[in-house]
Amino acid sequence: MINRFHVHFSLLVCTVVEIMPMPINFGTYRPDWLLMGLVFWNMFFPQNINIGIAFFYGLIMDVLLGYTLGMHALAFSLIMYVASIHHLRFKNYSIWQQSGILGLYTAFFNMVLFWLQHWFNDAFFQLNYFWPTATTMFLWPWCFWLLNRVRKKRLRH
Amino acid sequence: MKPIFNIGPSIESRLFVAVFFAVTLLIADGVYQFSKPIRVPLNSLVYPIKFIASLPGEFLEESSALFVTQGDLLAEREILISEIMQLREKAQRFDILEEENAQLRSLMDAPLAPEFAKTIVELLAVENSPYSQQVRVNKGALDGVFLSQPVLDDQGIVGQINDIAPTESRVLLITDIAHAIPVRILRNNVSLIANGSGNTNRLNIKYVAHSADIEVGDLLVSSGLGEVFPAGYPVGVVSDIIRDESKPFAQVNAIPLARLDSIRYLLLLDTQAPLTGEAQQVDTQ
Repeated sequence: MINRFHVHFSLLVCTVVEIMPMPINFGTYRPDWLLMGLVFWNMFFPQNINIGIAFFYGLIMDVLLGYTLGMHALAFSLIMYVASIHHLRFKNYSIWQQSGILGLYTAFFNMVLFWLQHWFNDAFFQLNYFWPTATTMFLWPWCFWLLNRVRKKRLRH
Repeated sequence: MKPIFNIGPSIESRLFVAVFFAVTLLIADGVYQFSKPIRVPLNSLVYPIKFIASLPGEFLEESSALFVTQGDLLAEREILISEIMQLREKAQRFDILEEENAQLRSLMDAPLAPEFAKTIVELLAVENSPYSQQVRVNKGALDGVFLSQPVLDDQGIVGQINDIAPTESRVLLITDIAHAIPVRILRNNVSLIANGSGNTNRLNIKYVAHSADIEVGDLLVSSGLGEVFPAGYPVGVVSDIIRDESKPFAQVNAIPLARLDSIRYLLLLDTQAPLTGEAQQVDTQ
């Protein structure tokens, strides 16, 4: 059923766009691509793509962005747990409902990251920490379409 | 909602294992900094991802460099020449002052301020997440970059090296919320600490007594305490002071002098190997 190469290749592409250098003013609006990718693949292959993979990609993000090791790993694992429990329901929602739920996921994700940063680095709260939530919700339909094509192309041959 | 064919351990136990490992890592790294020595190999492991991510930006930059007109270049040359002239004029006076200063210091038996080797680095990427203000530059462990190496631009202190990969490294800016730099006021040598605020155009000066002699417009220079930054480099200018007597300390903000929002080239100071020039010889006499 599952083609691991396609899954991991698309997740790596997500990682690359997640860290791709952007003009300073757009950095605040950067959507959580990797979260979208993980939720997508979890929806179709919940047995293979779940907490372990999320933890692994979280660690990669921590090293790439120079965060304290374990921050993204913990946040991704928690999100993946919530997503895995609800993956069947999530799959049956319309695309707009899905992007609403995904908005909740990313808000939770950003909040976990903020709390960890707050405990370890004394970050204090700013509302623009939640811009990624809006952009992620907005981009989910396109992301879904794209990843779905990746998935179906494999199924044909 | 359980799938029909469940493989492997349950989702809850997986979560437990993941959270356990993540929290262990967080404590080991956040509190005891265990990852510091292994960051370089870790960074070289993920280097391919970084390299691919940097390709589009580099491509854009190179293609835009192709389309510069001769007129633009000539105008830029003009500006650079006039700048060099002005700097040379300043350098003439500076040489004399430096010598004079060295003689005076040797009279007082005070140690001389050493001169450091400098490396010019170029900006690769800005990594401004809301929680961390960092930039990546194009020199790394292979070029002799070391942890906590001070980084300057042509106006003042920019930050320090935070993370090193073989061919690139990351600079933590002085405005990062986790960064603090010991400074003193140039006018009267009052020592202070300038904390990052999370905004590229503001530093928070903490623990300033209400009675402290500090004024708007005061120049803050690095004090050399803390032994990361050498003394005497400009850091910022005091921009506003709020003396609210109901609070234990006055609230003071400063604007960093380095242009942190338009970084292009930076200087790395090699504080571990001071240049042994004439200045040093005067010291030993």
